[in-house]
Amino acid sequence: MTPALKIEHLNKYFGKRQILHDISFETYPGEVFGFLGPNGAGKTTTIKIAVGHLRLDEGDIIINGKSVVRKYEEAIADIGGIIENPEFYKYMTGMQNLRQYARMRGNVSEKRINEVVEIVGLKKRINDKVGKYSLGMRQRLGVAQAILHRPKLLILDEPTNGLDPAGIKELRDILKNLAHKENICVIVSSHLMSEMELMCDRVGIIVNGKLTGVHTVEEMISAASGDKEQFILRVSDCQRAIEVLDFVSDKAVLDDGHITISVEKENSDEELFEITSRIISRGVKLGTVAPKENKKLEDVFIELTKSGGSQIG
Amino acid sequence: MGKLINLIKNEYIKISLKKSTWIMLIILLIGCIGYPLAAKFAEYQLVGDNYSESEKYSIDDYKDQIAYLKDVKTENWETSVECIQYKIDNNITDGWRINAVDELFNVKYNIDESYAFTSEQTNNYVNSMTSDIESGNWKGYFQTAVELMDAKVTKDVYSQSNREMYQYCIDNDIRPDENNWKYKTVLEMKSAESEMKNLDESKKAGAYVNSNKYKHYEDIKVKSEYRLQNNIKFDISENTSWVNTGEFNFWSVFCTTTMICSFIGLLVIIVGGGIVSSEFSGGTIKFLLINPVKRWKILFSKYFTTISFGYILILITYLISAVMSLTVFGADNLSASFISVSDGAAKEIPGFLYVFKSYMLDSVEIVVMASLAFAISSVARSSALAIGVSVMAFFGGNTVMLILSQLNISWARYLIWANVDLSGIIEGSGMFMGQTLTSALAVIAVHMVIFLMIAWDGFTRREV
Repeated sequence: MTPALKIEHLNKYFGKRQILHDISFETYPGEVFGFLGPNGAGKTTTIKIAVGHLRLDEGDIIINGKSVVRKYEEAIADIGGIIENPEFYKYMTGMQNLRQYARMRGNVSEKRINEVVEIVGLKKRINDKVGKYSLGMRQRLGVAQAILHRPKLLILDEPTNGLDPAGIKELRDILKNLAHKENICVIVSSHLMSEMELMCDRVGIIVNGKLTGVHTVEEMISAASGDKEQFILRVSDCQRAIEVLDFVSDKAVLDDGHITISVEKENSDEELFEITSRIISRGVKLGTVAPKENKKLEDVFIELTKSGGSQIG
Repeated sequence: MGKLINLIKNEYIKISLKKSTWIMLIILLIGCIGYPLAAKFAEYQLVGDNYSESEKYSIDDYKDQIAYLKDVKTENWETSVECIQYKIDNNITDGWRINAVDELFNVKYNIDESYAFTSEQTNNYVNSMTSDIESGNWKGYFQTAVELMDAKVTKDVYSQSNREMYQYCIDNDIRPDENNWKYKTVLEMKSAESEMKNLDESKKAGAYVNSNKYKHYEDIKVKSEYRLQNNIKFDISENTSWVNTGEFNFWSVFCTTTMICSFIGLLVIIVGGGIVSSEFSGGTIKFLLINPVKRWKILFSKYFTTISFGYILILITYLISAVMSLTVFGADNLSASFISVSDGAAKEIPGFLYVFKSYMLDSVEIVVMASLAFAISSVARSSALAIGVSVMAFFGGNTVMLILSQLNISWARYLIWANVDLSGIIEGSGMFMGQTLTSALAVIAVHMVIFLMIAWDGFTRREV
C-alpha cells in the first residue's frame, strides 16, 4: 500500500538552532495517526512543512507518492488540513468561504460542497457570516474546507483546541468515519494523550524535535502496565493477610488499608484462585478483589517525554 | 491558466464583499457625477467676471485716466488727454480702433519721434486714419499701418511683427474682431514669432537663451499656423482647463476630470496595501497556502487584481465623467481635436483619445504607488503601514521633490516622484533639466522591479 504520507529524514533549522532531527515515519490510508508531543516539540513545524507552509532544509516529504519538494502542486492536491486556528474570511458566509477554496482546488462541484456541509453538520448556518460563528462552528467549517476536494491525507493541528466535550466527541466521530469508512489517512496532532487514546489507531511521539517512536495504541497501553496485572484486595486484617501471602511476598504490598498484588498476566486466574483461597482458609475475611485501573496513557506519555528515551519496543 | 483565473476571481470576490470597497466606490461615483455639476455651479458664480486679456475700457475708465493725467501732469500729458478725449467722443472702447487711435496721435504729434514725415505727409496720414477709424474701415487702416511700419525710422522686432500681422489680416481677409478666433490666432502667432526673433537676437548677442522657452513659442507659432491653414476654430489644447481659461465647455471640464485619478490612486493604494497583509492579520493565509497553488500564482493574482481594479476604476471614471460633462455642458465641438506640436509639426489627436491618454499617463503614478503599497503589504504584513507609507508617498512626494529641486540636489532626479509625471515630462516641463520620456520610464522600471522583487521575496520565500 502506498503510504499517504511518507516523511524521510526531515531536518529543519531556525537559524542555527535545529528544530527537527532526522524525522522519518509513514502513515497509511484508513488510519487515524496521532502526532503527539509536548508544546514546542516540533509537531506543528513538521505539519507545516508537510503542507508547504515552511520549507524543509533536508529530507523529503512524499504525499501519496508525490514529493512536496519536486511536485508541489500535485502533492498538495492530495492534502486537506487545518493548521493552528480555523480562521476564515469573516465578511463572507460559510458557503462563500467554501466556494473560495473549491475554486482553488478544481473539480469540486456545488453538490460536493453541499455534501461536505452536511457531513460537518453546518447546514443550517452555512449562509451566515463567519464573523458570527462560534469557535466550534469555525472548526467544523475548517473540517469542511479540509475534506472538500476528497484528499487522501487529512492533517489537523490540535483540532480539539477550544472545543467543548460534545464538540470534541462529534469531531472525533467525524474523523474516525473519514478514516475507517472513506479510507482517508487522518493525522491529528495534540499534546493531550487522553484524546489520542480515544481517536487514534497509531501514535507517533515527538520530543525535542526527535521522533521517539511510533506505536499502536494497544501497544502503548500494554507497555504502560508491562506483563503484570494488579489487583486490590479488601480484607479484614491486612497485617495477617500479608503474612499469609508470604509466598507472593514480593508482589503483595500493604497500601492504605488494602493490599495490592501483582500477578503474571499469563496465568493470572490460577494465581488469583490460590491467593483468595489461602486468605480465606487462614480465617481472614475477604471483601473484594478488584483489578487495579491501568496506568493511564497520560502517565506513559509523561514518562516517555521526561526520559526522552524509547523503552517501548 | 484556469487556476490563475480562478485565483483572480477569488480576489475580486473578496474585494467586492468588503463593505469598505463599496463605500470607496460610492465616494468615487459621487465625485464623478458631482464634479461637472460643481463646474457648472462655478460657471454661474463666475458669470460677469472678465477673463478676457484683450483691452476693454469703459467711458468711466477714460474719465478717470484724464483726471489722473491732469492731476500728475506727466510728460506730454496734453496729447494723452486729447487722445483719450477722442476715444470718448467717438465711443471707442474696444477692438482694433483703440490701437488705431493711439497710433493716430502718435503720428499726429510724432511723440516718440519714430517718423520723419513732412507736415503734408503727416496730414495725409492723419486724415486717412481718422476717416478709416470713424467709418470702421479696418482694411484701410491696416493698409496705412503697414505703410507706417515701413516708414519707421528705427525698426524693431515688434513693429516688424505688427506689420506682418496687419498684412496677414489684409491678405486673408481676417476681421480684427475680438470674437473672431482667426484674428486672435493671428495675434498669437505673430507675437510668438516676434518673441522667437527676440530670442534669436539675444542669442546672437551672446546671451543665454532657454531652449524650452524658444520651443514654447515655436510650438505656438506652428500650432496657430496649422489652425489658420486648416480652418480649425476649436482646439482642445486651448481648452484643457476651465480653471485657467474661464471658458466653460465640455472639453474644458472633461479634460480636468483627470484629477479624479488621485482619488483613484488612494483607493488602489488601500486595496493594494491590504490585499496581502489582511490575509496575515486575519489568519486566513494558512488556508490560502494549503491549496494546491504555487505561492507565486497567489501573489500574481493579488497584484493583477490590484492593478486591474485600478484600471477598471479609471475606465469607469472616464466614462461617467464623459457622460456627465456632456449632459451638463452640451455636445458642442464633440469631434474636436487636440493639436499638439512635435518636432516642429502640428498633429491632431481626437479629443476623446487625448483625454484617455491623459488618464493613462496619470495611471502610471497610481501603478507605481500601488506597487509600493503592495510590496510593503507583502513584507511588513501590516495594512496600516503599507497604506500609510504609500499614501504619504503618493500625496507628499511632490512636496518633497519641490524642496529637493529648490535645494538643487541633483540626485533627486533619480527619485520616483521626479519621474512619474509623464505628461509633464513629455511637454518638457519636468522637474529637472533634460528629463526625457526614456529616462523617466527607465527610472520607473527600476523602481517597479525593486518593488515587485521585494513583494515576491516577502511572500514566496518567507515562512508562514
